[in-house]
Amino acid sequence: VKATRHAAYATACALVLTACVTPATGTDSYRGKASASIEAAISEVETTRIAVDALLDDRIMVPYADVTITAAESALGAISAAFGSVQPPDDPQADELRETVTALVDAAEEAVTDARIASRRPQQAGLQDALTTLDDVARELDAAEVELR
Amino acid sequence: MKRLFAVALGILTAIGGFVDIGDMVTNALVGSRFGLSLAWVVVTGVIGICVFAEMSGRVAAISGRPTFDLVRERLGPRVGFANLVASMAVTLLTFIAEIGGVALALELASSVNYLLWIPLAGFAVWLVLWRVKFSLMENVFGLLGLSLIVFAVAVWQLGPDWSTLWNDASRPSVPASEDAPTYFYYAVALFGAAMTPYEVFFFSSGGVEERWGPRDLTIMRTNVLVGFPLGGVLSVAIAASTALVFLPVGVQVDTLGQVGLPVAVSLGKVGLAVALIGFFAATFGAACETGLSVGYSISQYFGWQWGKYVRPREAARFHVVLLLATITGIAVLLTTVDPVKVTEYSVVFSAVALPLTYFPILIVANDPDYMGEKVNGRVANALGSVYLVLVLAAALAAIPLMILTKAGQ
Repeated sequence: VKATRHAAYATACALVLTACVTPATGTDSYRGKASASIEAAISEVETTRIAVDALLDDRIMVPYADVTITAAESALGAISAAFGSVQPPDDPQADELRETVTALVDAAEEAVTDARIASRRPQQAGLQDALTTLDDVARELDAAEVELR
Repeated sequence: MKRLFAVALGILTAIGGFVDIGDMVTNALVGSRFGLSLAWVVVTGVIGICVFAEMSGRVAAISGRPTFDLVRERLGPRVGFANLVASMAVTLLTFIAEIGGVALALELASSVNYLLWIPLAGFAVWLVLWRVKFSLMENVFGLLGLSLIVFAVAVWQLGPDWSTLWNDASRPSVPASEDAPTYFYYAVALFGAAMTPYEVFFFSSGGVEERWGPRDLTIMRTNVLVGFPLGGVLSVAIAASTALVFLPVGVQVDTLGQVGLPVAVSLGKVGLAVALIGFFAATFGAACETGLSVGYSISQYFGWQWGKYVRPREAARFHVVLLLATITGIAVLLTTVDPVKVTEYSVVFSAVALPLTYFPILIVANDPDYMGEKVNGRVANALGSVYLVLVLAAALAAIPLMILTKAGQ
């Protein structure tokens, strides 16, 4: 019984520790969190790009693309919320970084939302526009990621 | 001819039944982040599961009793209980993940939210567990699971540079974009996914359900030694497909929808439809296997009548356990917990439970009272001992690595 209790306690601790969002303790740490947010946003934007590209080429079913893009949109919302909840250090550079990353992630979310709306409509023009916007956002995110390395 | 058909069917179902939601998600995720640099873990895991599945299958064929029926008798109630708690907790978690996987596959096919599919998926799984014959269930979902071969076709169609892929796979190293703890965290997760405890629970109990005897040893060994490695090839194909399509553009897999995207890119709608059938069959089949494994483990520990080879009324407590496990699975998933996250945790906790699952098999397979002349030979014991060290190392490393890497972030 004692061993079982210890195992349960260890498991609970592990789950709590892995689920925690640690506060940024300095500008470097904050840059690390910003970089992780940008990387995660790139992942979602690129997923949407692949799905939209496949839709334009008629290589994917609409429900499948819809679910995949909607998931990317939700993930971007979560990324934005998680980064927004981190308290930046008392440093003007950190404030500037916060503004840049928040704007980029918000732009990514908006582009993915446009793609989701276009994917549910029959016209291809909307999808093509969405793909162009996604390309632009992806380029900006890539540039930000390189800068943050 | 009939025997040849039985061997072929056994191999095909072993291939198709090898991959479950844990294998699909973990391999796709690892491929998208690490390329094929962790393929060695899949190979190691497949050899390990072959070693212990052969042992537990041999125990079932020779003694007519599943391995874990003998664990309590041979090692006593304390060890038996530790074995029961550890492996059953992980199997239940895997069962929940598989039902979630069925719902996610249905969502991808219909775009109806997966939460609405969960009660239906859970009910369908329970109905199959209650009504459908064991062999029919195993063969249908095993054969449909072969649809996942579409990932190997997709990789071929993508026209990769095979020498680069081979170099990545044969010279494992930590990619520049990742750190060593994260690399080893996913190594442990892949190992846990390949050697997940329910596979031996199901394999040995399934042998009793199908009334294996000593003359079935050859068929059993062929299924294990040919079917499982070919199933491992499917796992590597999934990793290769995401490595080719996602790694260059920085996509990290965290949904089932992403797992199938490389197939759409490579083979279009027809390929994607086949992949969807594979997702459904693999998760539904594994949900049945894990659900049954929960029932098997509890019933065998308490000495209740168990199995689908008797009528439900004769194994009433076994079927009550199946029903309660299904209700628990549905209830947990309806809390809106992400099934993919459940999967990710289940494969890591699977690694934690491995020693408690595999150590007793080694003991029982060496006991001449149960096995007679068919006790482990030198090769089986040498491999079994090496793998015990490996599973112990994986079990000890799993939780610290999980904390250190924030679950692989």
